[in-house]
Amino acid sequence: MLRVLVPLGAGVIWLIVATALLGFLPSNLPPPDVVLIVVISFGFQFTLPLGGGLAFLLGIIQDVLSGGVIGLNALSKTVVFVLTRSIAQRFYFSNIASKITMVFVGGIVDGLLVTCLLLIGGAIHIPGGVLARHLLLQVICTGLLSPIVFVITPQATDFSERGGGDIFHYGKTKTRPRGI
Amino acid sequence: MVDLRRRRGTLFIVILIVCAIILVSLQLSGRYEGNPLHTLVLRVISPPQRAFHWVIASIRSVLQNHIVLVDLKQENLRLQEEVHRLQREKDELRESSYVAERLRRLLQFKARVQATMIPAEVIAYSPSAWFRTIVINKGFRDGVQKGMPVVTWEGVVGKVMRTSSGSSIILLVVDRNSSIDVLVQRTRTRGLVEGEGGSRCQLRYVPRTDDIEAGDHLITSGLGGIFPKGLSMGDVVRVERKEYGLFQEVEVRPSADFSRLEEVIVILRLPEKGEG
Repeated sequence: MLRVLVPLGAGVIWLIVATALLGFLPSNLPPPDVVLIVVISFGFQFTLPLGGGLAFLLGIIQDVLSGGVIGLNALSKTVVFVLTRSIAQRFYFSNIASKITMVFVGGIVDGLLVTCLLLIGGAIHIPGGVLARHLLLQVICTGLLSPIVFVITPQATDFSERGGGDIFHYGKTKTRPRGI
Repeated sequence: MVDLRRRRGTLFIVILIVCAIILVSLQLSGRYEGNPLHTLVLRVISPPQRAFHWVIASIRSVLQNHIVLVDLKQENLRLQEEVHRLQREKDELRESSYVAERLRRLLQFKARVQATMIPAEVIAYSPSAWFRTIVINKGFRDGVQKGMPVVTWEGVVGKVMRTSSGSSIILLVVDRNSSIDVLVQRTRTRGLVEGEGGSRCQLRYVPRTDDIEAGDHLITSGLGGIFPKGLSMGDVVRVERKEYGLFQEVEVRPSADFSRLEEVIVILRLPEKGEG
C-alpha cells in the first residue's frame, strides 16, 4: 500500500506546488508539465502495473485540475511511462542526464499524442506552425525544470523501495543497481 | 498459449489505455462531461491547494511589505511621474468629443446594468499547457454556476467552466476553446475573439473591407447572453489584410493581465430586461 501511496502523494504534491507557482511565470510561456517529469521518473523505477497505474491516476488528476478533457493526459502519461520503461530497460541507464533526455523525448511524444487526439476530436483549430512552436517551447520549459524534480523526487521513491519487493524487474527479487 | 500471469502487467496497461481512449472519445463526442469526477477530485485537491496558496501568499506579502520596501523611494518617485503623465493624458482625452461620447455610453451602461457580483481569489493555475484555466476559491456553495462571466476591473477574464462546492475552474479568454462576441468600439464592427493559448487572442470573422486598425478598443457585444454589453475586452495590436480571403487577420491583446491575476469578480446574475 505504501508503495503506491508514497509516489502518488509525491506526484500530487508536485502538481499542487506547480499549480500554485505557475502564476509567477510569464503568461506567454507554456507551463512546464511537472506530471510528465514525475511519470518519467517512475519509468526508471517501477513495474508496469504499479507505474502505469500511477501515471494514469496522475494524468486523470492533471486533466481535472486543468479543466480539460478527462483521459487525455491519463492516456498520454501512461504511454510515456511505458515508453520510458521500455527504453530504460533496453538501454539500461538511469543517470540524471538520460532522465533529462527522456523528458525531451517524452515531452514530444506526450505533446504529439495530445495534439493528435484534440485534432481528431475537433477540439482545436490552430495552424501547425503555432502548434509546433507551442510544443517545442513546452518541451524546453519542462526539460529545464526536470533536474529539480528529479533531484527531489527520489527521496519519496527511496522510501517506497524499502516498503517492498521487486521494483524494477518483474518477477525477480533483486532490485536494479543505481546510477548505471 | 499466452501466459496471462506473466503478461498481467501488459494487460493492465492495455486496459488503462482503452479506458482513457473511451473517456476521451465520450467527452469529445459530448456524451459525457465528467462532472462527478471533477467535483470529487476538486473537493479533495482544493484544501491543500488553498493551504499552499496561503503559504505562497504569506511569503509574497513578506517580500513585498518588508524586503521590497528598500526601493520604496525610487518607486514613489516613479509612481508620481506616472500619475502626472496619466493626469495629462486624462485631461487631453477629456476634451475630445469621442471620449465624451464613450464615457456617456459607459455611464449609461453602468446605470443600466445592476448585476449581482461576488469577488473571488485565484488559488491555482492550469497545470496543463493545452488549457488556459485558473481555479478560484468560490464554488456552487457561494452561488457560482457554470457559464457565469468572470471579470476584473481591467476587463473580461473568462467564464466559469466547472464548479465544486468551494472552488471553480475558470476558462480564460486566451484559451483556444474560448470565443466571445465583441464590438470594435470606434466603428461598431462585430467579430469573435478567440483565444490562441498564449497571451494573445485573434479577432475572427471581420470582413476585409471593414475599417479596423491597431489601437482600436474591443468591448463585449452582449450577444450570447453570457457577458453584459460594454465590458472591456482588449486592444487591437496588429491587423493583416491578405490579397485573398474574405476576412482580415486581427491580433488582440486582452485587457486583463493574466500573469498578474490575483482577484476576480464573478457576475452571478445579470439584470432581467427592463429591470433597474
